Amino acid sequence: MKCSEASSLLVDFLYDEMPADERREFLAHVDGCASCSAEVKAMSATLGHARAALRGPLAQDAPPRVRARVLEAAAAAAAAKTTDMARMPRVPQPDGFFARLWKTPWLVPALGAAGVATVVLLVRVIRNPQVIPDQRPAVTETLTQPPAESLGLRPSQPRPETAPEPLAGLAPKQTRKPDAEFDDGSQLKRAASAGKPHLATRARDNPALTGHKLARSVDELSGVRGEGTALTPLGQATVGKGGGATAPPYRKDEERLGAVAKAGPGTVAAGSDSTNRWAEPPPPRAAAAPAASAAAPAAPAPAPAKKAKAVVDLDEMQKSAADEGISRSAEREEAKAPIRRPTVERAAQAEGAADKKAAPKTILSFEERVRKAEKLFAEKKWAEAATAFRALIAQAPSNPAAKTWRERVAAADQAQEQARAAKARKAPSSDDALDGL
Amino acid sequence: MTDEALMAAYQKGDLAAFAELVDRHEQRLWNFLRRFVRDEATAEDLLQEVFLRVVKSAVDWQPSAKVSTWLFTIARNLCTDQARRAEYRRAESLDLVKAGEGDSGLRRIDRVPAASGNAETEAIDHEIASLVDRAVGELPLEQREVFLMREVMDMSFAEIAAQVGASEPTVKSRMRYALQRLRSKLGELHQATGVAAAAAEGTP
Repeated sequence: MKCSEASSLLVDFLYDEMPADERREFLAHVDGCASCSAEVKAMSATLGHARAALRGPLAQDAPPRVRARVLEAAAAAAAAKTTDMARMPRVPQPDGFFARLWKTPWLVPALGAAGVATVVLLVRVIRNPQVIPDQRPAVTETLTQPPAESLGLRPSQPRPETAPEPLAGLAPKQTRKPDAEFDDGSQLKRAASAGKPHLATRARDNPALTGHKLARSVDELSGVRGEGTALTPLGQATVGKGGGATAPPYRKDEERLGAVAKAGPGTVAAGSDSTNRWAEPPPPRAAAAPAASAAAPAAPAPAPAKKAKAVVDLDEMQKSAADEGISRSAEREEAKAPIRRPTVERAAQAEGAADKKAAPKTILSFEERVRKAEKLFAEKKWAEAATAFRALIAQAPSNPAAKTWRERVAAADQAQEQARAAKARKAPSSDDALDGL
Repeated sequence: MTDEALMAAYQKGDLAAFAELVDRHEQRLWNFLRRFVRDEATAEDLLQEVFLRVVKSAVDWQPSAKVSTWLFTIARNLCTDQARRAEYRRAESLDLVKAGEGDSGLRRIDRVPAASGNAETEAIDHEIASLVDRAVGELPLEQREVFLMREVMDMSFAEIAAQVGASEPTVKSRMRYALQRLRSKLGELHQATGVAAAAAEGTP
């Protein structure tokens, strides 16, 4: 061991923190080295004196007042803590995510309702994938197929038990004014065709029913003007209960009808095939009504023999309606009245009606685009013509005219190329321009 | 009963446990603070502040923390702050004579009672203590800190290293430099001790 090493180990030796082997080696060196031996003795003496002084004369007790103040403060703090704990309510520990989720009262039912709604929606989509707009067939295919088939609806089935039957022998007066706000027994026919034979029955049972009030009642009860289907809840409720049952919303109307019936006689036949505008349901509705009518197969048809009694004076009805503007109120109420149908069939009918309404527009638009493309081609607007024909090809690739369109596109492209080439030849190059200078 | 058990008892409101804790540590802390800041009034304030902080933070104390280490950490932080402030003012030394105290001409260290009963030995001890006190006070801060931690607080070198944030060999080096400086400062002490020892040996 060298003296430098011994010097670095001096503190370990003085505080006896040296391993035994190292200590023996250190002592062996110190015994043989006078300078290191003197250093060790001097440092040991210094440490001894310092330790003796610090732990002897220099060691003092802490001032008693410090202890007293500290203990006083500790007691005050303990008292304040006890008081605070007694006063302050216990703060609950924050719960975990699932605990809070479980403790939220509305969340579980909400999640359940969301799950049910999701399942219903999925079932609906699976059963009828075409409710998704992107799943609808192309326009050209739609044009060649019946709307009900394009929507994947069930084939329309006649429903003799619920379809409004003509009231034989009860033809109403054909005296409808052409500009009347509303017309005669078409209201009753509409109600009957909308699955509300009870209204016809009511009119039948109250032959003195005033025309305009009857019309208003019909409008209120039928819900939608021109409704050709018998699948409204009203109709179902009525038909399903044999035509005589009345749902709560009808009561007031029935009572009012009964009260009005006492006012005077009427001579209109409910459900008669008159010339009024309500006699024939709109075409879109008429197509959907038979398909939807299958939902109530057991609904009995109203008795034709009794319908003959449901007669109202058409002239009186028109006159009163013109005076009181009932038709406007009826229209407002029609707009307010919700259309209620079974979910799937209601959606299917709505889809069918929408397609039927949109179909003429699509046909015209497509034809217009064809004509426009031809016009552009004839006008030699090659770029626009090519774009228009490409759009037509993309929309209706199986169209018989698609081959012609493709030829037009090729011709337009070729014409554009030729035009560009001609233009390039006409334009002088930069070298030519420099040569000219 | 360990310090940690006492602290846990105080957390539950046992004031006697806290008093016991104060009794165990106040003297060492007091001597450390007094030697470190070299001013009794400041050391007294710091000692009180150490225990007040313990009272204030007792709620947050965890049983895994060693109480003595916690106490010394507080004391050392207070000393560090005090040393920064002392750089801008002259700290009053223990050996300075305050006004009104000069009638006797005795320094404070002179009023510290001696450990032994022999009058001559007591005089030598007082002289040695005075020299040691002055020499320790003149040590550089890092060396003084390590020396006091080891000799007053009875901390191991490993604990000191953890406290000051240095390696253990570095701490030992600081300790060795502190002893060498004390030795040079106490050079006359050796002679005096030798004289005193010779006198003591010659005394029948």
